[in-house]
Amino acid sequence: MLQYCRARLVDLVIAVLGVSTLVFFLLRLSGDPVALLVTETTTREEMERLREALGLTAPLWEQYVRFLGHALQGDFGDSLRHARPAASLVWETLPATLELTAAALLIATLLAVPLGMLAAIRRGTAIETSCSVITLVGQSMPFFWLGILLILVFAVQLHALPSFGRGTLGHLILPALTLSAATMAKTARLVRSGMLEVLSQEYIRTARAKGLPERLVVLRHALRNIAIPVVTILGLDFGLLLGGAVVTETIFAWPGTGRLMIQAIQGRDFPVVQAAVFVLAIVFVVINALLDLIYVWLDPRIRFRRGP
Amino acid sequence: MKRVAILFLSLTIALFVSDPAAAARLTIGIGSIPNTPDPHRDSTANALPAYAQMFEKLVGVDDAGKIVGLLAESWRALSDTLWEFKLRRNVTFHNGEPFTAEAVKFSIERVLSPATKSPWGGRIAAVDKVEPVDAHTVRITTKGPFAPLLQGLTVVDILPPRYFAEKGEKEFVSAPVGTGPFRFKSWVKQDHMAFTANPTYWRGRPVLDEVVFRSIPEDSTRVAGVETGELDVALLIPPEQVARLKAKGVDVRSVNQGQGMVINFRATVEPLKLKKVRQALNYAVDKEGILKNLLLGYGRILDGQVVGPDGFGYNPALKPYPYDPKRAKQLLAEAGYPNGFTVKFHGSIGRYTKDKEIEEAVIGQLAEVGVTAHLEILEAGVFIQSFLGGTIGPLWIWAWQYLPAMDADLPLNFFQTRAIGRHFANPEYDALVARERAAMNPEERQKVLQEMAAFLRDDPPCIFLVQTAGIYAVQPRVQGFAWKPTYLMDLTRVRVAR
Repeated sequence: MLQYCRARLVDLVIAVLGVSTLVFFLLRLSGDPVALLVTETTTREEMERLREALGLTAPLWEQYVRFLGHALQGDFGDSLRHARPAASLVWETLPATLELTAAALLIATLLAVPLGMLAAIRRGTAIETSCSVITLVGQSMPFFWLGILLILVFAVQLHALPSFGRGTLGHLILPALTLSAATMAKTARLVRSGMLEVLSQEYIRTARAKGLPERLVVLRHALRNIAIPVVTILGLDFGLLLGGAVVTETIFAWPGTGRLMIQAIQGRDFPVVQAAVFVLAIVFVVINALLDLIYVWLDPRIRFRRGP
Repeated sequence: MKRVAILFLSLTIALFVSDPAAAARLTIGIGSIPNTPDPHRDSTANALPAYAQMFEKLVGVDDAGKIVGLLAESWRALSDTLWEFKLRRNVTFHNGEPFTAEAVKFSIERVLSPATKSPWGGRIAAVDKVEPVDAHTVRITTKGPFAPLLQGLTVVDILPPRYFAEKGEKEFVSAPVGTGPFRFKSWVKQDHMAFTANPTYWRGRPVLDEVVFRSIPEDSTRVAGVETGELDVALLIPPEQVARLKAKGVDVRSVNQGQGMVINFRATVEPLKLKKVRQALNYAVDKEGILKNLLLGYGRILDGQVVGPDGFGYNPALKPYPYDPKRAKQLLAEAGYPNGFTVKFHGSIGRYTKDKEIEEAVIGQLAEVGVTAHLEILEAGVFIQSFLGGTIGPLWIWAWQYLPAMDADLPLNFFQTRAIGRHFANPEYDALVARERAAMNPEERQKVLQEMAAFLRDDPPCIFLVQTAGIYAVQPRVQGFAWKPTYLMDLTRVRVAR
C-alpha cells in the first residue's frame, strides 16, 4: 500500500509539473496580457509602465523560475484583473465546479446503469431501440444546445426550475443534467455491451441452471463483472466533465472554475490560468488514484495479485 | 422506474422555493459583473453601471451628453494647465467619513499610481499634481494644456482616504465604501453584486431597498431569465429575440449608445494609403441594408463620423457616404485599381452584436466592386493585441467607444500618427488633434472636434457603419428604468410594483 501511494505521489508530481510548465510557456506564446488590460486610447508609455508593474519585463526563464518557486508554496501571484491572489480565486470557485461535476457524474451513473441493463436484457425489443435512441441523442447533442433546450422546457415553459445561478439544489439540476448527457450515453452503451457479453458466459448459465431468479443473476453475477470498465470510464470522464463544465457554467451562469478559467484565458490573466490548471491537474490525478483503489475493492483478483 | 420518477419530481418541486422578496428589490441581468469591488481596477463597459450605484465621480454626463457636476459643484480653468474644482459640501461616504478635497487627491493619485495597475490611468495621464486648497476646493495641475481633463474625470471614482488608511486595501475590497445612492451588500465573483439603499444619500434616499446585478454571460439565458420572471431587467438582448419577448408582454426598449461600429483601415499600407481607395470602400458598403436586415433596425447609421449626435464634437453638417457601387468602382479606377485588389479582413465572433454577419455582408459588397477581402476570425485576446501592435487588418471590424464621457476626443485622438498601433498618419490631422487638446474653451474645442470629423469624413480612416444600440428588456412591474447612452443607469427613482 505504501509503495502504491509513493508511486502515485511521483505520478502526481510529474503530471502537475509537466502540465504547468506546458501551460506557462503556451500562455506566454498566446499573447500579451497588457494589451487586454488597457483601453484602446492608451499610450505606449502607459503600456510599458503597466508591463513593468506586472513583472512581465524580466526574461522568460527568470519568470518561469520565479513562477515554479512560488507555485511550490501555493503562491501563484496576484490575478492581473481581480486584485486578489490567483490561488484563492481558484479555491473559491472550485467547490462550485466540483459540486456540478459530481452531480453530473451521479446522474450519469444513476441513469446509465439501468438504461444499459434494460437494453441488454430486453434485447431486440422496442425497449432496446428506445434505449439506443436515448444514448445516441445524449452522445451527439452538444452541451450548449441541450442546456438551452432544458432551460426553455423546464424554466420557461414549465416554471419548474430556475434558469440560472447557483444556490438551492434546484439550481443544480439543469446544469448537472446537461453536463451528464454525454457521459450517461457513453456509459449506458458500455453497460449494454458489457452486459451482453457477460450474459453469454458459462457461469451465468450455471447460475441460471441452479435456479437463481433472473434478478439475482443480473444484479449479482453480471453487473459486478462489468463494474470495472464502467468505473474506469466514469473516472476518466471526470476529466472530460471538468472540461465540459466550462461551457455548461457559461450557459447557466454557474460561478465555477470553468468560467473563471475562460475569462482568465480571454484576458490573458496568466496567474489565474496557471493556478487553475495546477489545481485541476491535482484533482484529476487524485481522482485517478482513487479509481485504482476502487478497482481493488471491486475486484478481489486485483487485491490478491502481488507486484505490478 | 415509476418510483424514481416520482422521487425526482417531488424533489424538484420541494427545492424550488420562490423568493419571498419582502423588500423592493430590482434584479438586473447583465453579461458580466465587475471583476473586483475596487472600481479603479476594472474598465469593462459592463462594470460601469454596477460601480456607479456605489461610487461617484467629480463630474458626469447628463442625458444631452453635457458634462455636469456630481461631487464637484463647479470648476474653472485658472490657466492652460491649472484647474480649480469646488466640491459639494455635506457629502459623506457610507462609513460616515466626510467627502473632502483629500479624497479627490487620494483617488486621482491612486488611479495614476503604477502600483494600482488601473486601466483608467491613461485617461488622466496628463495630470501632474492634485492639491487641496481647503476642505472643499481642489486644484489639478496638468503637464501641459489638456482640455479633455473633465472627460477623463468621468471615469475616476472617488474613494475614502481615511478608510483606506485605517483598514487597508484588502479590507476595502471586502467592504467597499463610496458616496453613491446604494451601499455595498455583497459581491460573489461571476455570480452577483448586490447593494442596499443608502438612507443618507445626498440627493435623497433611493426608492428601491435593494439592487442586484446578476452575471449571466449567455444571451439566451438572460432572455430566459426575463421570461421566467427571475430578472426584472435584462441588458443586451439580441435583436432576433425581441419579437419573442414582446409577444410575452415584456417591454423591450433600445437606446443608441456611445459606440460607433466601423470597418477600420490600416491606412498606412498600400493600397489603403490612397484616399480614393478608402473613399471607394465607403461607397461600396450598404449601411442601410446592414442596419435594416442584420441589426433589424436597432441602431443608427453613422453620419460619416465615428460619434452620433449624442457625442460632444458631433458635426451636424456631415452626411453618411451613400451606397453607390458605381462611384466606388470609378474611384478605384482613378486610384489605379480598376480591377480592385485583395486584402485581409480581421473579424470577430460575438465581440459585437451580429459581428460575423456584418463581416460577411461587407465582404460580399466589397466583392461587387472588385475588392476581394479574406476573412480571418481572431480570438479576442489576439484581436486586441494585434490592434495595439499595429499588425491587424488592413481591414478589421471595430467599435469606437466614446462612452461614458460621450466625447469625440476619445476615438478621434486615436487617429493621430503617434497613437498606439499607428493606423492613420497625416500631419495635418495631427495638428488638429494638438489644437483640440489645447483648446481650453469648450466651444472652441467643440469646433475643432467638428473640424476633425469633417477632415476624416473626406479622408476616411474607416468605413463608417452604425452607432450601436443597447436593447434591453424590462418587466411591466418595473417603473422608471432607463438605460443611458453612457451605459449607465440612474436607479434612484426606479420602483418595482408588488
